Amino acid sequence: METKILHVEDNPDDVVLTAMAFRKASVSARLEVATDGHKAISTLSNAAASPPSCVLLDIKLPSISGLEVLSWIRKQPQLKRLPVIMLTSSLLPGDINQAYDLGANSYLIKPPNLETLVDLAKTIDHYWLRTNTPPSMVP
Amino acid sequence: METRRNRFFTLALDMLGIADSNGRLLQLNPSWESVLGYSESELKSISGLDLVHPSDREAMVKRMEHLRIGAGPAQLEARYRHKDGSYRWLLWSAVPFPVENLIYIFARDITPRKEAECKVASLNRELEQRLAALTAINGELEAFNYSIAHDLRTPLRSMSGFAKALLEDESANLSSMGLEYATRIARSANYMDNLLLDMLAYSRLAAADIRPEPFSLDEPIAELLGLVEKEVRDRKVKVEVRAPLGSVFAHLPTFKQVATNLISNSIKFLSPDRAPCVTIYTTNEGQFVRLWIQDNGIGIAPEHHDKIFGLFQRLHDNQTYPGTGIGLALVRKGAERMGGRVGVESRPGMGSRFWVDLPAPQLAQNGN
Repeated sequence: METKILHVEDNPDDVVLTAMAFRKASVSARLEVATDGHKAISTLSNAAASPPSCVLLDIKLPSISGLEVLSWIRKQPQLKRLPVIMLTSSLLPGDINQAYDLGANSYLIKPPNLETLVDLAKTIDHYWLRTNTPPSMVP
Repeated sequence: METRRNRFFTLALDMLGIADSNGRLLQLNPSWESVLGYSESELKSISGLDLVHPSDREAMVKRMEHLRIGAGPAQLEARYRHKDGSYRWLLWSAVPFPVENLIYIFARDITPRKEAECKVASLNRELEQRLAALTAINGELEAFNYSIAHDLRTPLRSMSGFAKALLEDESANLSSMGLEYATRIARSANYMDNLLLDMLAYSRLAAADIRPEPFSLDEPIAELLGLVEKEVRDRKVKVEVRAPLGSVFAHLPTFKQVATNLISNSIKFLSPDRAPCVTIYTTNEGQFVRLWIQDNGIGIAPEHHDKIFGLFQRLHDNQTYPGTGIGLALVRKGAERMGGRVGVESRPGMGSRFWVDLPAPQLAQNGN
C-alpha cells in the first residue's frame, strides 16, 4: 500500500519547498496537500478507509486554524491516534502548549533553510513512517 | 456645674447642637459658624435640609424621618453648603429624645479627609487606566512579535529555500555570476532570519515573567559548553572552567540566554596571533556572585566598552565576525531583569573579560 502524508499548508512556496525537501531526502511517501483547514478535514473524512500515515499541520491557516483541525481530528474515533506533526513558524509558547494539549504528537518549527528542512524530512520519515508501527494498527 | 458644662459646649472643636424634632436648630455652639460660615441666628432660621447637597438629600431625609419618629440614633456623612457657596463634608450623629421632643446633634468637619479619599480614589482610577493601557500595549507587542515570527520569516524561508534550490538543482544552467548571486541571496536571507530571531528573543526577554530561584552555575555552564563543542573543537579553543562555580539566585532560562551569548562571543572574536583560550570562573562580590568569561581574543577598545551593550551595535564587518548586534544588548537586558549587572574589562589585543553579577542565593533569600 502506498504511504502518504497529508500536508496542510496554505503558503504555496512552503508547499513546493517541503515537497522538494522530501524528494531530496529520498522519502518515498507521497505528499498530499490541503491548502486550508476545511480542505484538510474533508480530505480526512473522504479517506476514512485509507487514512494518511501522518499529517503535517500548519497552525496559521485561512478560515479555520491548524489547532482547530487538530482538535477535530482527535474527536474522530478512527483518527484519534493518527500521528499529527505540527509544522509551523509560530514560536509562541501559547501555540506550542495548546498543540500538545490538543494531542499533537510533535511540534516542529519550520526551519529557515532548505538543508535543515531536508534533515527534518529524513527525521519524519525515520521516526513516523519507517520505524514506528502506525498507532492505528496497535491492537 | 451647669456653667462648666456650658463651657465644654462652647469650646468644643466639634459642632454640637440641639434641634427640634423637625431638625431645626434651637441651640448650637460657635463651631457651626466657623465651619459653615453662617451666623448663629441664620443657622437657627434655616433647615439642615436646605443646606445639604442635592445628591445627599435623599439620605438626609431618611435619617431625619428616623430621628423624628424617635427610632434611635442616626449617623450620616453628607455635603453641606457653606455660606460662600462651596460644600463642606460633615459627619454627624444624632440621638433623639422623644420625651423632650429634642434631637442632640454632634457633627464634625471631615472635608480634608474626604478630599484626601477623593484624591486617592482618583489616583487609583488613573493607575488602573494606565495599567489597562500598559496591558493593552503588552498585548499588541505580543501580537507584533507573533507577526515578526510568522509573517516576516515566511518570505525569508522562501528566498533562502529557492536560492538554495537554484544552487543545488540548477547549477548546471547558471553562470558563475548567477551562482554567486544566488549564494548572496541565501546568505542575506539567513542573516535576516538570525536578526529576526535575536530581535524576538530580546523583546521576549524584556517582557518575560522572571521568577528567580537558587541554582548552581556548574550544570548550565557545562550544558552550554556542550552546545558549542563543535565550534570549540574546530577553532581549537582551550576552555577551562574553574569549578565549582557556586550558586546564584536567578532565573535559569534567562541565565542560559545571557551565558550563551557571552560564551559564543568568547569563542568567536579570536586573535589570529595566539592559541585561543577561554576561562570561566566566579568571584564573590558581596551580595553578588560575579561570573567571569575571559578570552584572549582581539579585545575591545575602552571607548567602545559601553557602546557594545547597546542594541544593534557592531564593531566589525559581517564577513570577519558575523553577528546581529543584539547579543550583548540581550546579555545586559537579561542580567538587569534578574537584578544583576554586566560589564567588561578589555584592551585591544589583550583579550576580554566579561562579567555578570547575579544575586547570591543566601542574601537574596534572606532579603525576601
